[in-house]
Amino acid sequence: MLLQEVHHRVKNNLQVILSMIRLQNDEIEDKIVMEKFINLENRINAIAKTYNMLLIKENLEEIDMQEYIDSLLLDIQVTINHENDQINIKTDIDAMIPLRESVYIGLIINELVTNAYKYAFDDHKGTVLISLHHHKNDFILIVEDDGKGFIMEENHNTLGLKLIRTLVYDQLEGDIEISTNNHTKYIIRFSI
Amino acid sequence: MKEINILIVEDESIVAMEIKSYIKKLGYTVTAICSNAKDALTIISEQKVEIVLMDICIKGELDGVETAVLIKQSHPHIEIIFLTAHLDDYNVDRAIKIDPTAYLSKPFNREELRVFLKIALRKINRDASTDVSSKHTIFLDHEFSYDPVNHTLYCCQEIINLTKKENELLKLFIDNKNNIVDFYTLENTIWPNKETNTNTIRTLVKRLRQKLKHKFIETISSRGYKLTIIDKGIYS
Repeated sequence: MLLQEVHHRVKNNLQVILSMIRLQNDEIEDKIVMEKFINLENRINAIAKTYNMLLIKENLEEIDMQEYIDSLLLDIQVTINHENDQINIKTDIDAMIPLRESVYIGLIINELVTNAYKYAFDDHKGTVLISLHHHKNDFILIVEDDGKGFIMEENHNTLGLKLIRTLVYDQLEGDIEISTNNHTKYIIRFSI
Repeated sequence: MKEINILIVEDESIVAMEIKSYIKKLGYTVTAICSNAKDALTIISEQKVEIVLMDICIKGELDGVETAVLIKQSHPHIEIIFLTAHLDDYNVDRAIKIDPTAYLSKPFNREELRVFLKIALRKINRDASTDVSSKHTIFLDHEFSYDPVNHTLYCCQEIINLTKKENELLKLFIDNKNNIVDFYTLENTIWPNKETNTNTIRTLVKRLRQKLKHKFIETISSRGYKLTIIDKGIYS
């Protein structure tokens, strides 16, 4: 019961943070700045969503990643989808992961999918595949798209990629393999 | 768009500010913001409110669900949308008893709120239109009803097509329900400018009887017909 109350408080506080960002964004007219606020909103939403998934499960320790990521993807699509987008996202997820690590994975997927939406497809057509499975002692997360790829040297300093790196290396203590030449593919391994 | 008035019951003032900012953008009117049951009930009794956005954990003795129950008791047409961090069965089960338009989890998603406000609006408009005709609807029994405003007969909510003469006959019967309509009145009302005979009348009554599944209309020998509604049946 006490733990549930703490979770409610966390959710309410995250709602207050989101409300402040949205209120600020309601006053902004510059599209680029607005987009940055929406990115920020989505990152916080990725964290907040894990609490909803937790509360509706009997087992308070873990999160069904299929349910969480599918729901998260819907939110991302609503905020960054353009009218004529024909971008499909397919998921193949079979993993139960504790709350702490779920938040990191949610944030990583949020960054990767947002990048794919924004930069991978010149004609706004394509597919993003996300898979997450447990292999022996490791979890393997793969996010790939059939878009145009990008030049790593030109993009490695973006906030999105910096966040991904720190989450994988420092928080999950995992590793990341990126191929960006033709299409883009991220393979992230970590253990819990 | 017709003005739609929304009351926000929310104990986090920043969240309330955001909801207000967003729903104003959508073109709705915010009647007021309050954070407890007492203020909510006062506002509803004094001002026009069509939709309430209700948090569950609010200030004061009553929580959001208890407040919503009281609102629904006094104003059944107000639509309720819950916005809450509480997704446990205890709260959800209590809340769904009042048939809310939605039960949205916090942090809420603006798009979801937009869609559920539209759904609430549709329910309000539908209720308003059914109200106008249902006010006068005459219930013949559990399956048949007659809407005298639109001159329409329903069987289990399905419209039963009546010819002009059948409709005139039914109207005449209903206007004189539980009383005998004699042949003379019948002839003069349905065929005012034309000589007619008992056969024509009998045929018309037979056709109407078939459409009413042979219920309600009885023949009163040598005098006329009577449409009987057993229940009091008139809801106004």
